[in-house]
Amino acid sequence: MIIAPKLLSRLGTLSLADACELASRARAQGLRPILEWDVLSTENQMQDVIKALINFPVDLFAAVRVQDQGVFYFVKNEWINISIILILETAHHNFLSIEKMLDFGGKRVERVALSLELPKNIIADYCAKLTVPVEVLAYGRILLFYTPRSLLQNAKAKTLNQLSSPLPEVIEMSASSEESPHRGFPVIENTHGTFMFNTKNLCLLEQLIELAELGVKFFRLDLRYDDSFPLITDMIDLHQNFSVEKALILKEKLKDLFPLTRGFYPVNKTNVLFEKLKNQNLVTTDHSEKLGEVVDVLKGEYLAIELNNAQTDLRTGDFLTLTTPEGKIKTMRAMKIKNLSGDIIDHAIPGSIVLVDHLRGISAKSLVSKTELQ
Amino acid sequence: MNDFLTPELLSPAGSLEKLRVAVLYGADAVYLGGQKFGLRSAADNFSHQELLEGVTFAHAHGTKVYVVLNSFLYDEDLAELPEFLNLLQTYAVDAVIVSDLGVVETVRRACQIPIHLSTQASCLNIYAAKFWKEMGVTRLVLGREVTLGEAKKIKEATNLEIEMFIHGSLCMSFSGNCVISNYTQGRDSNRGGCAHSCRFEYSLNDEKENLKSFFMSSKDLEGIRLIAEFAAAGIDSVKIEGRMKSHHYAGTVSKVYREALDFYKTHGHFETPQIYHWESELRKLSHRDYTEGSLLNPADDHSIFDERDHSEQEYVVTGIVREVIGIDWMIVEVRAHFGPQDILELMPHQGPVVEILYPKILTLNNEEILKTRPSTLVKMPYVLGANAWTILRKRIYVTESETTITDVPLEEQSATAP
Repeated sequence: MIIAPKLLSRLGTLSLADACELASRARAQGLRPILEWDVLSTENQMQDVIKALINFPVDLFAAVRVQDQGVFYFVKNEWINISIILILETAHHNFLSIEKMLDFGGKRVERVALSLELPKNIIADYCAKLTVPVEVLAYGRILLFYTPRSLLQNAKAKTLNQLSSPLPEVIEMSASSEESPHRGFPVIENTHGTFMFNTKNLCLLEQLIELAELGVKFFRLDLRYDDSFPLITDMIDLHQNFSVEKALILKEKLKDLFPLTRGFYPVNKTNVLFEKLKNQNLVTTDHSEKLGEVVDVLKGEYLAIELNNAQTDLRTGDFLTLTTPEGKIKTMRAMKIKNLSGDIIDHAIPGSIVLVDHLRGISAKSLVSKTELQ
Repeated sequence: MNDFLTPELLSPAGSLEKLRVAVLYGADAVYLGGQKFGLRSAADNFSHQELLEGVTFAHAHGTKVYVVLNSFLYDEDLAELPEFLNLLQTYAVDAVIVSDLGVVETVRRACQIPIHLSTQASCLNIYAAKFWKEMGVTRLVLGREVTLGEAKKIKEATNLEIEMFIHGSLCMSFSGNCVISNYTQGRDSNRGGCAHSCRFEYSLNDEKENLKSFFMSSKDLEGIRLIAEFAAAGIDSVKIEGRMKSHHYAGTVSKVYREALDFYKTHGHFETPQIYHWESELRKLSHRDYTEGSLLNPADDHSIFDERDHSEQEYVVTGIVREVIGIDWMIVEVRAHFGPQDILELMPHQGPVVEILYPKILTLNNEEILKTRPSTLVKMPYVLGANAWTILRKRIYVTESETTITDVPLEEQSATAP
């Protein structure tokens, strides 16, 4: 059972006293109370938090969940008897990174919560290799954005010009943009800042058996934010007596409350679009024949070429291949080379700009390479 | 006269050309990305050959080169890294900028290049700083939420080098903690695919209200008035954001901050009317409204830029001097239309701007022309202060609706976030 005090948890609402009370009750009922400390704090805020934690009965809790490396460092060195659960949901997309975190925490680390961006093949790989059990989020909101600034309060104040009454400590709104096809991002502002969530909740309830077979030992159900909390008994039942039918029924119930997604669990291809961000015809590549770039064209007169490869020069008679921004490829031979003073030269060094004969169809920004033979 | 301690000036170098511009206009160090492992997939970035050329050029001018490897890498990316690190070591780059713990460890195992922790890691407090020190980093680029006062405490507690942003666009989110693009555009924002969703206008709804707001967009950082505070806090390096921004930007911010830092170094204070000149120069760049962000106090509602980004700007780069021929001519690469009727300004690498009235413009074939075309070379009479990579600009007296796409280079129109 995760207990989230307002002071320490990004979206926590409990006072420290209530958190302790809840921890005691949880223990009495045979549950493991786990303290959540995932807020990001600058130095002054961190000192305030630490001051507020003097005399905090941390031994009421079975473990503490930490995300910020500073909190990890603090807990490891100052709360020396408590187990640590590492929330590795931001970054930590490679095994070495996780391994280093575990090395630092030593035997104190009892579990790691893996990133929501990892697909199942990587989850399986890490479960097999890691020396501590793995946790994944099986149901809950997907956090997209976290800022310490108060964004909703500002928007409300600005639009309404003057607020007649003070705003509540927690503001919730839904955000949509015409510049995005996705509608209705839940946004929450509280004392820690502003949080935006995905328009669909992560739901891997159907995959519980599969996840268990991959080696996942802990599933997290995060029901804090919407009306799904009454369904917790169904979820626990599903976990204890899994069947695909039950999972589908529960999924339908959840879908009525909020749209669902499997996120990146099946596959993560968030780097495949990168090539389209640039004109691949003009991507600079490393090959010794690359000569430079066309920087000016005067029809019927000349092409000006900047020789920008330090290892390649240009000599009279060299064969050239030119690739336009549209991908059209043409070849020519540099029979006459002029420098910018207008003198005919037979050799141009890297770093200079030279003029060669005009070639139809070639525009500025075309890439120029030297070729051996035509 | 005493020399007062001042931070290193670290400028962005989005391409080899911009590296030359930043170096010549006064950067002590530049940061750049290779074709992989950095956070700017859409930037030109450096091929290996360009990297070698860039390092050679920078080192010849006494400028350091830091290479960004600040993506959050997956295993398959990480496997390719050691080869690139070997290359960086061979090229003698001065440091790598890293945000991922796996990358930190890979660098440590593969080479001896100093490791700077990227702001992407959101290092915010002394405990986090101590953690990263134990991991082997030598410099922290602190999270942009950290105040100068807090930075001073972190430096004193860890004795690590501290670098902080002083100018440029700001992420609204804690850096490295935004994955909007991942889920909405299928582009990993932490591997270079940020789609700048924070700059969109949103409708905000609850039971009572329906508001329209650019509520997630931040104003741009400008810390020039706080140079004395940076120095007093013992900050080792002040960083300018903007690898995706223009030559004009790279040149102007490097020159302005160079002059300001030099003034402080000589005088030990910052009380000078020159500040108005420097601020005015910074306002000639395409920018959102400026804020001091969290440098003095945590950023508040005044730091939000509740407007659409626009291309309205006072000045535009008309050309870059590419070659000087004797004392008679300079060859200019045209970036935006200009003609003999325009008043141009040449921004020398050092010293005041030189006005060029009614410039004579020739083709390379010595034919006089009345209007230039972008992406061409023209010949103009030499102006004192002109050197290769000197920037020529002109003032544009236009409203937003009158600004044409050819007047403003594309790179200056784009919304840019760090």
